This record gives sequence, C-alpha cells and structure tokens, in this order.
Amino acid sequence: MNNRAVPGEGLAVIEEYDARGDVYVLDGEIYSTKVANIRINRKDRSLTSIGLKKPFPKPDDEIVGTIDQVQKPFVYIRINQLDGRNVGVKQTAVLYMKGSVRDAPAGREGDIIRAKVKLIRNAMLFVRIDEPELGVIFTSCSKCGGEVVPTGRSFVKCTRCGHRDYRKLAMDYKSGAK
Amino acid sequence: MKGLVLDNLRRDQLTDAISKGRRLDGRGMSEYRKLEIRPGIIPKAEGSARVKLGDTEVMAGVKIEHGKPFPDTPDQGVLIINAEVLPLASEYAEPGPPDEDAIELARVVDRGIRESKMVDVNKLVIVPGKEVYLMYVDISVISTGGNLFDASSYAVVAALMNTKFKILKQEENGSVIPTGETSELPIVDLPVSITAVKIKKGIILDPDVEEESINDGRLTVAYDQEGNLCAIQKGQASGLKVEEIMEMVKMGKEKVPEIREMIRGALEKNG
Amino acid sequence: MMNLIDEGGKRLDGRSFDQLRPFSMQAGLLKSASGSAYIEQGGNKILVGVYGPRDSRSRYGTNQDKAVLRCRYHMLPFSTEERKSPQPSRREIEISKVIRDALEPALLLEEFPRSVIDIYIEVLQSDGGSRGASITAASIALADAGIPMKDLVSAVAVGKVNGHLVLDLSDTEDKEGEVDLPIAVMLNSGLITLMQMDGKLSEDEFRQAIDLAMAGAKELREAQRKALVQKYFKEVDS
Repeated sequence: MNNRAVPGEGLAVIEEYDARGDVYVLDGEIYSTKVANIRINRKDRSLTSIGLKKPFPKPDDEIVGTIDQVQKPFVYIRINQLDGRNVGVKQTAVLYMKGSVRDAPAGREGDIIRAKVKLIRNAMLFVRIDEPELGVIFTSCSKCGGEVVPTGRSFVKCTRCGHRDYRKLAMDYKSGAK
Repeated sequence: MKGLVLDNLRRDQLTDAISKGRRLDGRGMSEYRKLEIRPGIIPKAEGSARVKLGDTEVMAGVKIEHGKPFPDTPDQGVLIINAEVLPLASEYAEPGPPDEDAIELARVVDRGIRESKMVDVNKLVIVPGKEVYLMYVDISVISTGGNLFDASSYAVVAALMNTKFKILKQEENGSVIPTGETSELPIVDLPVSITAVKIKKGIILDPDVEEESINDGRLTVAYDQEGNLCAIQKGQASGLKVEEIMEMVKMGKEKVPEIREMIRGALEKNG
Repeated sequence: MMNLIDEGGKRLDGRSFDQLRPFSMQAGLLKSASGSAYIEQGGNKILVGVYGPRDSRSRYGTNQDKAVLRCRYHMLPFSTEERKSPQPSRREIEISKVIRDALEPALLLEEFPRSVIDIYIEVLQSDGGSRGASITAASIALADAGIPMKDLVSAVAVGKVNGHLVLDLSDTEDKEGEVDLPIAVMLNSGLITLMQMDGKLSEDEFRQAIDLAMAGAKELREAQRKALVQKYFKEVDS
C-alpha cells in the first residue's frame, strides 16, 4: 500500500486497520480526507492519515500574532503565523488574563506575541502564554510609543520618556520574531 | 496595497535596511524583481499578455470592437482601459465592482499609454465620424505582490503590441463586416512605466508589497521612446520634495532602457 | 443541422466519441491563497483560488455548526469571443450556485463552525464545459487548502451531436449539438453532485450518457490525483 494519499484515496478496509487521523470511512473502506502521509502501525493494527496542511490551529499549536485590541480581561490577537508558517487566513485568538500581575494586560495593542492554543470553543481560539518562551516578543512604550528595553523579566522601560510598564515577555524578547 | 499592516518589528528591519542603502530581499535600490512577460496567452483575445513581477501577477487582454467615436475626436479610434483586482489575488481583495484603487490603477496605466501616443488612433477609423475601432483593454490582477502600476502597464503594452485584429469595412447598407484580412495595431511608441517610492530618506524602485505598505510617497512616471516624461501619478497621502522627485525621475530614466528591452525581447521571442 | 461528425466517425476536432479534450492540471500556484489550482481543458483556461476557513467579515451568513461555503464563478472580460462586461451575469450567478452545490457534499465542513470558505473561480479563457472544468479544478484547490474532503469531485459534460452521444463537448458541439448534460461525481460513493441538461434524450440514451460521463470522470480524477501528488510528493515521485 502507498504511504501517501490524496483526498478520496482508498487506504484499506476497516477489518484490517483501526483508522485514525484524517480519514473518512464509507462502506467499510477507509479513505484519506487530505493530501497526507500514511502511517501504519502493525503492532496495534492502526492506520493514521496525517494531513500535510493544517487549515486551522489545534490545541498546543504555537501561534505568533499581533495584539489587535485589549479589553480586560481579554486580549485579542490577530494570528500571523501558525507553527512558524505565515497563515493566509484571517483568524483571531483570545487570551484570557485572569489575575495577572498588577491587573495589567500581557501586552498593548500592536505588540507581537507568541502563544499556544489552549482550547477551541465555538470556533473561538483561546490561547495561553504560561511558558517561558511564550509572551510578548516585540513591544513599544504604552505612553509615548517610544522604544523600550526590558528591565528584569516582566518589565520594560521606555528609552524616551522613562515610563515603566508591565509585559509578559518571552525569553527571547525582540529576537524571536521571524 | 491596502490591508497589509506590517508589524512593527518588520517595519523597523525594513526601514533600517533602506536607510543603509540595502533592501531585505537583497536587491539594489533601483533593481527590479524578476520580470517575466508572456504575450499571447489567451488566443481568444485579440491581444493578451501575462506579466509576473516578483510575487505580483497581472494579465491584460485586448478585445477589438467597433462603434461610434467620441464626439470630440470623430476621426480617432477609442482606447478604454479597465482594471479589476480579482478576489483570489490576496487575502484582502473582495469580489465586487472595482474600488478606488483599481480605478486609479486603470487610469494611471491608461494615461501612460495614451499620452505616449503608443497606438496611432488616427489610423483606427473605419468611417470618419461614424465608425471607428474600439480597443477594450482589461487588466486582471491575479496576485498583489506590490507595484501593480508597473506590472499592469507592462502587461497592457505587451498585449497591445501582441494584438492582431480583423480589418472591418462598412457596406453600403451601413453594416460593418470583416474584410477577411487581419492587422496589427499601428504601434508608434513603447512607453515604460517606472514606480519609485520613498521610505524614510531612501528611494527605491519597484517596491514589493511590504515596502509599498510603509512607503512615505510614491511616484509613477511613464517615459516615451524619446525619454520624455509622458504621464505622472504621485500616490500616497504624503509629501515629496522637489529633489526627491528629481531623484526618482533620474533613477527611473536610467532604468527605462533595460525594461523596454525586456518587453521587446519577450515579444520577439513569441514571434 | 451542422455536420459535427465525419464519415469516419470522428468529431470536428478529430476526437472519437468517448475521448476527452487534451487537459492539464496544476495544484498550488497562488501565493496568498490557502489553496489554488489551474486547469486547461480544450480551450478552457481556468484559475481557482480558495481562501479559508476564515472568520466571516460579518456575523451574517455564518453557521453555528459548520463552515459556510461561498463560490464565485467569474469570466474575465477577454475570455470570450465578444468582450464580456465585468459585471456578473445571470449565467455566472447560476453557475456559481450549482458549482457550490456540487462541491459542498464532498467537504467535511463541520470541522470549522462559524467560519467561511471562499472559492474564487476565474475563467481566463472560456470554451465548452467550463463549469465542469471549474469543479474539477476547484476540488484540487480545496484539497490544496487542506480542507478535509470525503472525495474529490470530478466533472465533465456529455452531449448528443448528430444523433451520437459524445464525451466532453467542445464549444461548437455545445452550441450546435442537440444535448448538453454536465455531470459532477464523487467516484468512491458514486454520488452525482451536479446534473443539468439542455435538450432531449430517451431514457436509454440518458443511462448511456451517464456511463460515458463516469468513464470521463475517472480519467479526470486520475489527473486530479497526479496534480496533487506532483505538488506535495514531487521529490518522491520523480
């Protein structure tokens, strides 16, 4: 059998394998639903079709996006990248900031932020930034828009007006955006 | 084009590079992206061409019909240029009648062709004052990758040069019929459009979609074969200094021969 | 009646009754689209771009339970003998609808509630059978976009010219012939997702015409598969 498939390509019958992933079963026959690589596991007798293209993020996918709007406790993020690839589809992610440091949002409008998909509900994408490499990767001063430098883990200071601000910075702040 | 909001980080990288006389894709300041011109791709059209300029892709098609001349130019054929950005051309394009950007695009291309007198419209008359040839040129934008003005202009120029149409005559009963012979258009010039943009203090030619989205002023100039400037459009809600405009014109004029040769070459290659 | 078949049983373009016109298909050539495809079939030159699934620009026209499929079939002004006005005609609006209805049964839209998928079909040059070629190409573009599908949809027209059933009508056969019967099918299940007919056929002829279309669809389906393999597994396949 082929180790790759296009949509509608017959892969096996259900008596042979337990069908997983991007598959569709019709009259006992397993078909791939995507252009996919096919993995066969003889031990547990499973067949998995792994689509090569993701049209939509899934939980634990990493996204990079621009903060569109901050409406405490919600931060709305326009997704630019999904798993390191630019996305052609317009999609918004929501970050829920509960009891964050000093009740400040993670970032301000225009910031670039890296996050991971937490869950998807009603086509709404909720993300989280609770890992060291997640958080703001580019920002500017919320008072004057000037350039800022990080001072410590979670604060930035404006080089123009001196204003200090809270940000949940990613570990690789300012060098991480691709 | 509208819709692309560059993120701050990328914007900084771009402007920083340009202020140092470099571009992020490695091009020189007046270097064009890879230009591909393929004339004659739509056999059903009297003339056609597809142009790829980097990620920008444009098609132009010419349909020749006949009809009444405009009252103020009774002894001239009619040139009508339209443009449409197809909804598949970008994430931001939408189906519907041409918006102001598409109309500006069509009009800027139109003026470059018209004012250079590229096509001798005096020769496109069937019966003076009554029946003339109507040249419909339609621009279809397939991919918006920046600098639609130049890509569209090259596509239209190539399509017009590629045009072969049926010669018509008017019968005594007034009906207009083909004589059975075909002809090329009376082409007497080959205008070249060059678009420059200013980004901070730097001036570059042929902006890509990112450069275009952060430009501080755009100037499109069409040059005729003699090197005259024959149509200009300043774009973007921003000001340009006289020295900047003259620099843009100078850079453009130096670029023209190279582009003109490419258009000629593409047409010769295709017979 | 115009003579469309010669004494040797060949059609005007030299084809036999059950022969498709020359065709070629390509997947994924538009940079900004989620998926795209290009098809040439006879004189048809058709470009398809798919965008989505994406947020709808408005809350109108979305569905809580699945993605909404939208489709626009559009002919470029220079795609026809006479220049076509850029405004959508009634014909284009109807074809947009039947193409959408032909593709939707193949898609697992439930995976994307409240979002929309746009299919933009641009006919660069039109010939007979442009709706069939559009469906065939749109299927490739949807697969290229990674939208899960039960099956590819393959489409072709069958017709009757000078009393003979023939596959894949040319423009002249469509205009001068007696019957035009475009059919789209999902071959795995055998479900027909588009069927329209102009003209008269007996029940027997109708049955034969469907079989003829199925044979043509099979050939097209193989080419659809190849176009996707070519894009995604080129290095493996060469």
